[in-house]
Formats: sequence, C-alpha cells, structure tokens
Amino acid sequence: MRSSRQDVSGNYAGAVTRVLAHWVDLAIAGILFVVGTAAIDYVLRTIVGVDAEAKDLGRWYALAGAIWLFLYWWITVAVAGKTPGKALLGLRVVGRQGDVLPSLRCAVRAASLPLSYLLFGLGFLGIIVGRERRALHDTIAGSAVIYDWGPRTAELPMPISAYLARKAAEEPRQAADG
Amino acid sequence: MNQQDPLQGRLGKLANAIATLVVQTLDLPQLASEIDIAAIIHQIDVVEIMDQSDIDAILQQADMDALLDNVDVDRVIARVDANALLDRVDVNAMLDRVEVDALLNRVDVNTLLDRVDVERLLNRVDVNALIARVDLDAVLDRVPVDELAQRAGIPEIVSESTSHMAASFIDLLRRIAVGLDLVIYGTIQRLLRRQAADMPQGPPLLTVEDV
Repeated sequence: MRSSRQDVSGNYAGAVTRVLAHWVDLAIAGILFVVGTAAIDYVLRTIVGVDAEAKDLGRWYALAGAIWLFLYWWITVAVAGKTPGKALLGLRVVGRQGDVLPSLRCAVRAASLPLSYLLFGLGFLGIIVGRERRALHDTIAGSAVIYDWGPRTAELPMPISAYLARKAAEEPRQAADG
Repeated sequence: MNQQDPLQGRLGKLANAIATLVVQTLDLPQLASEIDIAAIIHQIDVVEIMDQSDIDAILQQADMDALLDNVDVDRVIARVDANALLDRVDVNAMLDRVEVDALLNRVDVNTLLDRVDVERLLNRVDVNALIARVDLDAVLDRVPVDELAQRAGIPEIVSESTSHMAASFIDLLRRIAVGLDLVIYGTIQRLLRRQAADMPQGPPLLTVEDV
C-alpha cells in the first residue's frame, strides 16, 4: 500500500506545511520566551530585589524577544537544518541547489524573516506563486525549504497519488491526440 | 574256610532251632504292647547322642532339596506371628546400620524412572487441590517481575510500538498537509496558466529528473 503513494522527498515544500510549521515555531518560541522572562523576573525580584514592572522595561523585553526569536530561527536551522516546527511537519531548510545552508546564510535568513511580514505578508507570496516556492527571506538568504521526513519517505496521500498517476498516464495520450 | 568248626555247626543249628521255636511260641504283638516305649525313650540321653554324632556328615548326606520339597512353607508361614516378629525388630538400629549413600549409589535412577508411569501418577494428583494450597501472593512476591520484564525486552517493545504509533500519526498529518500543499499549488499554477510539468519539483541536487 505504501508503494502506491507518490514520493515527494526533496521536493519544494508548499504553503500549508510551511505556515503550520511557522505557527508551531511561534508557539514554541513564544512559550519559551514567556517562561524564560518569568523566571528571570522572579530571580530579579526575589534575589536581586529589582521590581521589573515598576521600572518600565517594556522596550527591553521587546528587544530581548526579537533577539530571542532571531537566535531561535538562526541556531536551530544552522545546527539541525530545521526548526522544531519544521521538524514536526517534516521540512528542512537547504541551499538553493539543495546543499547544506551555511551558518552565516542561516543568520541572514533569520534576520530577514521579519521582512516577509511587511505589507501584509506579501513576502510569503512567493511560496504560492514562485517556481521554487521561496519566500522573501529565502530569496535573500539563497535558501529553499523541502520535504524531509528523516529516515522515512515523504509521501502524498493515496487519493492524490492516484489522481496524479492517472493524470500522468493521460497526458501522453492527449498530446498524441492533439 | 570250607572246613567248619563241627561244634559251631551243631550249636548253630541248635540255636536256630531254639530261636525258631521261641518265635513260634511267643506272641510278639502281645509282647510289644507290654513294652513301655515312653520309659525307654525317657532313658535315652538325646544330648549325648547328638554330641557323639557328626552332624555335618549327616547333613552332607542328607538330600536337602528333597527335604525342603516336603516342607509345607505356606503352613509354616501361617504359623508365624508376623506382628510379634516385627515387634522384636529394632528398626532404628537396623536403619542405623544401613549406609544410605552406598545404597543410593547402587540405584539406577534412570531405570527406576523408566518404570514410573507418569501419566498414571499425574492422573492421581489433584491439581486443583494442589494449586489451592499454593500461596500465589507469596510466590509472586518472590518473582522479580521488573527483572523479568527487562530481560524479555518489554520496555523496548512498548517504547518501539509507542514511537511507531506516534510516527504513524505524525506521518498521517504530514501527508494531509502535503496533499493540501499540492492542491493549492496546482490550483495557483492553473490560474497562472502554467504547465505543472515545467515547474521544478525541488532543488537540482535533491531531485532526480526523469530521463
């Protein structure tokens, strides 16, 4: 039964998987940041004796959050080729040719990620309409996102695999008739 | 030798004639009935006779088999009081003299076991009664369940099956997401009037194009 499913390992990843992975990453990074800042706040109040809320540290928190998100996207991709969200959805960040993305370009990709959010997320449009399904930050960093389920084969669902197989069989016949 | 003593010849004939006459005259049964045999036997010293006899020589001449054939063994045994005999036996003293190890060394256990009818033996065993007498809690308390589970590899099996189920579930979600990816991408490409076959499937190093 598994053999009748189409293998898509190494293919460019689409919008749904990438968006879902991005949400998972935002959730994980957000939770870790909140827990981390709460722990730091507790330590400041109980041990150092500094009341963070009274000192209006909102800007510092925002800066710390931005740095944290940058580090999250940079380090995870540089070390493992994927963020936790991408690992869950079976995605991997590679170079445009399919090679391993160098650490510096991982940093560029993480730094340019906010640019894709500009103009109502226009930078993500490339994932849907682009030939290589790359977002703006992928274009800037020279990266691409592919399906990679690790030791297992990335597969399409059975009905779509069957549809594509039928279509592939019909195309040569239609070309001959035309 | 041919010439006999003339006196002895005549006396002998006379003695024979007298003896014959006496025998004919005497009433021997009458005479025998008047003899007190019990008194005669009473006067015989049997012990002295036995002392003077060569018992071994007599026994050697005796036909023991014929003698034993005439003995009614069943009758002899019937007259033996076995309980009285056993009462006189000191069993402990007898057992003390038995060398058990030597005795056991002489026992061929395999032959003994071959003669045991195991089926018959088991049929006589009341298994339910036997099990009812077993304190299972006590038995189980002595069983190292954790160690047994470890040796049987149960944690690995549980871990493997759990991770396999989790991976299968994640793959299912991934397949749905990949399917939606393809549907959306195919729809967009159709709207843009692009041929799907012209679109690259993935990075050149990771995709093998059909020849």
